[in-house]
Amino acid sequence: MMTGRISKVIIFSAAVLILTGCFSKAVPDWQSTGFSHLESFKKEFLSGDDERASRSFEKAIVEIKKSGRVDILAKAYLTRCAVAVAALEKGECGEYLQIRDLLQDRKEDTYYAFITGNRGKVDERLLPEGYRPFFHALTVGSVADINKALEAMESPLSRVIAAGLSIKQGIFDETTIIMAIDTASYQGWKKTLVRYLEALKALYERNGEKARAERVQERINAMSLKK
Amino acid sequence: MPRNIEIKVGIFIIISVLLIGASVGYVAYKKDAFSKVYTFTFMSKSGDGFSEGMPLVFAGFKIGTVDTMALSDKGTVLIKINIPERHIKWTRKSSIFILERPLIGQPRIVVYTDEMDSPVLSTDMAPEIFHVDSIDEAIHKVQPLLTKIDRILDNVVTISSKLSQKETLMEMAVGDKESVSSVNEFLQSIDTMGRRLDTILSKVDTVIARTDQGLYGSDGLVVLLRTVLTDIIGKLDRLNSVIDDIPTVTGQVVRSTGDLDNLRKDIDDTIHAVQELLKDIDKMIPMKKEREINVP
Repeated sequence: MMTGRISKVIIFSAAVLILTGCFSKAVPDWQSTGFSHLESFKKEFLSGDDERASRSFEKAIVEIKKSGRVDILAKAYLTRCAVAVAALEKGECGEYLQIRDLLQDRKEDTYYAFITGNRGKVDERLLPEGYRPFFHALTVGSVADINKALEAMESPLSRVIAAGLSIKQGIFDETTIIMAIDTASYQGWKKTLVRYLEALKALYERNGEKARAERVQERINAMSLKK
Repeated sequence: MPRNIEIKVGIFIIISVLLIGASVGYVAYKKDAFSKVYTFTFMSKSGDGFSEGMPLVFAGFKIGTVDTMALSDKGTVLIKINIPERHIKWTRKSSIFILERPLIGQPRIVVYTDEMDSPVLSTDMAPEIFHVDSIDEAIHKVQPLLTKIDRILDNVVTISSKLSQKETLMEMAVGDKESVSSVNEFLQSIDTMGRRLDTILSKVDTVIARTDQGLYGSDGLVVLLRTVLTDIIGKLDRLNSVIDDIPTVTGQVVRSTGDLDNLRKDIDDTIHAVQELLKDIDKMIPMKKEREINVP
């Protein structure tokens, strides 16, 4: 049976590779592997597997460093900083600051200012396109527009990062948090989900809605982070 | 007497003509000369490789012929193919049409039909014909990768059979419920992974994979294969940490048997091999925007 499976896998691989072999452009090893590790890092970090996330991030950095591309290295450091914002944690941006002087492009600095909440230093035109309506709403201070911008975001991670920024800057309402909860829940990002549930609970408590706060706490208990 | 010969010659000529006529008729019948022929229009992004008279083949049998080709107003190539009525059943709505141009042999359009329940192709549809170039050359390039896959599967088989030997590893882990359950989980996952691979492989039979979407799309075969291999790495990684813990639970005497060291080595080799294969697969995925490293 296993031999049969092996032959099937070989046939399968042949089919896939035959079809891809001739007309595919080669992706450099460091980029392909670095990208995969960075993707794993995001998923693991947001899910709460911090130890594994840390390993994946280190592996990604090792790969990126092989290319000597400081701009990509900066993007990787900023990614770590941004996913921390998404998980409502304090962003670790120190490594980015160490290399920022080597960068020629201002895009990274704008992004850094954006995720660290330094709105005055953000050049809206240099922000990734998906964040622009959100940033505009954040600057105006309109929670309704922020929620509308969050809803329109295609990338789930960007949506949660933006929600995290709104919460950190105190420009949010119940809908903002619920949108982040739904996104984290759909993606299976457990740690992030719990953090936003805690934020929702805190909001209910501040509003004096004790029963609703308790229900949220029960939901948090039901999916205890330990198991 | 001469009159008799004339009659005989006449009969001979009539029979000969009838026989020749019947033979020609039979051959013509077999060649679908009398059956109704339908003309289907197909679309291709390029006319390269197509020619009038080119065969349309299903399961190795010719079922149609390219009649004419023309350039449409949209810049695509319209190819008209004649298919006799009795062969129309092989071309379904779900069929995939591929222009194969082998290095050796004549180019041809091949029909792949998996779902025979799907509605028969109608003449008002214009399905696309996809191109696959020089398969022989591709096979040559692919050969080293096939060897790698073979080796990986051999390793996985070795690991799973070692884990199945209850009198060794499983018993060593007695007393550590977590280790035992992790090992069990791994053994079950081998079966699950096998089933997932089978599911993926069944997709190959449909040859839907030959389209770009089928290959690179979110449910594409490359992505699915990648997911399964990543899954294998994740599970082996977890198993590695369990194996690391077993000696501390059961005492150093276990390590002296050498079983754990060998198992650990097998797992490491497999992880390494799968990772290498993943790299190869990644390299085959065309340079797409989503594989660039960007801020989230």
